[in-house]
Amino acid sequence: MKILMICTEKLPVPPVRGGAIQTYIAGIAPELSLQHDITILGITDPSLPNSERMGRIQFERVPGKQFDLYAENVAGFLQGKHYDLIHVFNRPRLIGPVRQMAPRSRIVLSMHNDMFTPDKISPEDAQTAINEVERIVTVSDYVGNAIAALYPSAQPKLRTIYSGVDLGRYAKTAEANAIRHQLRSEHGISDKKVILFVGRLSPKKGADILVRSMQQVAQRHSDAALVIVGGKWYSDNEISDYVAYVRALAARSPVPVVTTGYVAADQVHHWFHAGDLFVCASQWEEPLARVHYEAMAAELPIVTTARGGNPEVISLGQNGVLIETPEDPNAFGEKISMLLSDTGKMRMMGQQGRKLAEQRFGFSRVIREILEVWR
Amino acid sequence: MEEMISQPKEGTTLDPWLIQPWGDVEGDVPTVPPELEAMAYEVIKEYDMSVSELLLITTKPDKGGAIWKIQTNHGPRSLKVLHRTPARSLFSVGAQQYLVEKGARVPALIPDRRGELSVERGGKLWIVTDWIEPLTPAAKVDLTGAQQLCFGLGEFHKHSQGYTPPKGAVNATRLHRYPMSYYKILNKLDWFRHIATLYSDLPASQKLLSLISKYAQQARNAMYTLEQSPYKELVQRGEATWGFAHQDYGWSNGQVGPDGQIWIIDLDGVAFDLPIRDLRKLMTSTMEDMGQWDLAWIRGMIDAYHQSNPIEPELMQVLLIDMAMPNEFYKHVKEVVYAPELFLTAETEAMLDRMEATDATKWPALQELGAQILEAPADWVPSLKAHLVPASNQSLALDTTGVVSPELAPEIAPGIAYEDAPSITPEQPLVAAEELKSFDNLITSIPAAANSVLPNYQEWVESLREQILAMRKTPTPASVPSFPTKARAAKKPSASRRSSASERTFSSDWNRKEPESKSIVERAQEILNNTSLNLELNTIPQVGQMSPYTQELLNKIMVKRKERRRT
Repeated sequence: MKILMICTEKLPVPPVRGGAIQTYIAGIAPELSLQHDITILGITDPSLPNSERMGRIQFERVPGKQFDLYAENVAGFLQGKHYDLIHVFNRPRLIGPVRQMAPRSRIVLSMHNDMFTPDKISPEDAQTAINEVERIVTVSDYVGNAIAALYPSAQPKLRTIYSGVDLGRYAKTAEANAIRHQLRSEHGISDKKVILFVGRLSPKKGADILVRSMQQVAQRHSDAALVIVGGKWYSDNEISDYVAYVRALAARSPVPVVTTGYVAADQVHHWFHAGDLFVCASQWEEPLARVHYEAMAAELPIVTTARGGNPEVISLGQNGVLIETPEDPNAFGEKISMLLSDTGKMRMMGQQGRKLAEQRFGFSRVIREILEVWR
Repeated sequence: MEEMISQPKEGTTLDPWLIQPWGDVEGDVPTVPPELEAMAYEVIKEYDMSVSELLLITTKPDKGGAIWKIQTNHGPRSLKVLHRTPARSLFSVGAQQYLVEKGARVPALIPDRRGELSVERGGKLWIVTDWIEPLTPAAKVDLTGAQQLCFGLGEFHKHSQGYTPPKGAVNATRLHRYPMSYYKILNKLDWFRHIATLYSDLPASQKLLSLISKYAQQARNAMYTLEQSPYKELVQRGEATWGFAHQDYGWSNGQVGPDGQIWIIDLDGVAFDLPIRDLRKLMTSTMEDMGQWDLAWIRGMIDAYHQSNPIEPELMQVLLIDMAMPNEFYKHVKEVVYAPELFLTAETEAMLDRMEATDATKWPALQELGAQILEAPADWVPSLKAHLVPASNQSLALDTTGVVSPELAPEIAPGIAYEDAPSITPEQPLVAAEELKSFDNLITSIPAAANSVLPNYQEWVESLREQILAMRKTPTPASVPSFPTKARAAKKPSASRRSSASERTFSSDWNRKEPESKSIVERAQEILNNTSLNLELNTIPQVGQMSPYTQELLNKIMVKRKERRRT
């Protein structure tokens, strides 16, 4: 089939400037292109040509950044072209214009977070989008349920396709072990119980709560250390203040806090190798953070929050535990301390996580399910 | 396969140089990367003008912005690279042009050779505008100057009504953000509480801790009252109806121009808003500077504003609620997150005491003005959901024949200084006692240098740069703990706090006598007073003169050096 994948107006594909959706598309597209004729439409970037072919994939780029501008350019691009299927990512508002320009194409929509809320899309546009697509793929049940709660008519079109992880890259190999020892020794945490946080430093992600929880963790585990992987993603002042706040908290932490700053996407797995326990401290109803798959693939037990789609990948006590009151540092302190005290349980949870990842969260499964939707 | 796709091919494009932040703080003298300077010359070529001199006035290294004053065959102009994203800057450029067309007193944008009002280079928008001179700060000694500022602000807002941003521009709006910004302040008060608790051993921690609950309650009350107020109905009138606010208006971005009227500069941060945002900031910060809420001043300022842009009763209610927020406490304390050890000092404790005294006078004044701030019930939980703004309908006119490129929008230029460039509040010595000598040496050498090189001002600046660089390389003794700059940098000259300092008299042998008792501003002032040059610190200099910038420069030098040492 001749297929067009339409990205969001925010960041370019390939993910030369990061971005979860961009990474996702770049991850699945090459294999999809073995079976279909794929064009990826996204925004222009000074480091990328406006049109190029890489492997079997055709890239087309139009000016974006602003949604309205991007939508016009997408519509302009579609004029006079035909695709059998158009797969739109995370922008239900694009469906109207796309349908107008491509009256005979099949349309599929992928939803990576809450973009159907009334502040993001008017009810009229939302209904149009739901009517015009044959399928709405979501990254978690949570995202699908949130849509159906607002627009029950979407229910029959919903399908959850959990994202995936590069199982090989995160596997506990001899090389991974070498990286583990090197990183830990470089940061002076060789003999520590390493608690790992990976994510953007923003209030939504809750790094501040986690740092504060170290007060309690230290009471029972003076040999613990916290590693915070991730830089400030935005340069706006709000975030800078927050980063400073987290640093100020960390400076008075009773256990060492290592902050790595920004780590490139292709290096992040090194830190998963180095950790002993993974914590996701998200405060918001998030769709389902990819870090959970990565932690599982790296055989780390998981402490995560009962927010959004996160609980969907935790089988309680098997591969991780849930925090019901994410705003409470003591809740983290308690669960973390409990796990750190039981290395046998941690190992078991890590192994369970890996097993789960191998069974359900590999990229090959994502690709298979997308192909099913396209069929 | 995956590898192949994860990297952009090299050499497939021109790989143009992109403007990126080049530092955290402005150096001793403003500098920009050579690529940026080269780019400035390139941008100039896009304009029908010949430039004889290019002087870097100020920079934002952490954001990637800069302003040059350029001497052209059409007179002095400003060349500015706007640090925000092009789409965001496009909003402001369009706004400035809108104001110019409405006859507002803002610097006119100069079109380039294509007739466009901005040039995109290095991933940012550049603008050229008139350089308005002279610009003199409104008098701060009595109410008249403040009223002048308020009247000018009202005119500005009135002119801004009806603006719609050009296609491709970000719709910069804060109109609906009041509940969210209150919420964030409330939330950050919690941060301060946690920091004061963790750093309880520092001098100001207990004082800070003892105040948080009170200000948090104030914030809750204001949020609660806002929820019951006409705010929601007011903002429903929409962005264009209200127009935009400057967002950074004060005694330096509004100044008296050649015609004796208020001119407004540095418009790159304008955003749709209720107009009272600017007025509130101007009033609360002025009251804070005065050390007490003076009813006569507030009434006078509101009246002056009202004359050029009438405030309806419902809007007045929101203005009073906005004043009831602990804005100034938040503004002065928020820097604690950057360096608690440097912030939570005895000086801060004293500052908190002063703010307490000021805050005590705020409530009677608000009551006199008719504010009815409700008490938020203890079990009331602030909710943002009630305030979610519905998305507008898809209004895409699918005119696919004319796909618009982002360059097709009008633009604007700002004037002189960035307001959030550090300025000086003289209540604390900025320079550690041990450093004063070398700093004094530097300043005392200025008159000689200036005398000998004038009129070649650029050379003189170069020589000053060299001296400063040399000084920077010399190790300085460990400094005494000092206040974080951002925290002390009141954006406007502070009337009451400054007066006590400037009333001091100087003895001629000041650099041998208890130098730490004087602020660097006083020192610079005195030195400049003693020079043979007649330098008027409050006006923009003519070409070849130095002075306000020199002063600014000297201020910045010390501020920045301290900042650097802290990190």
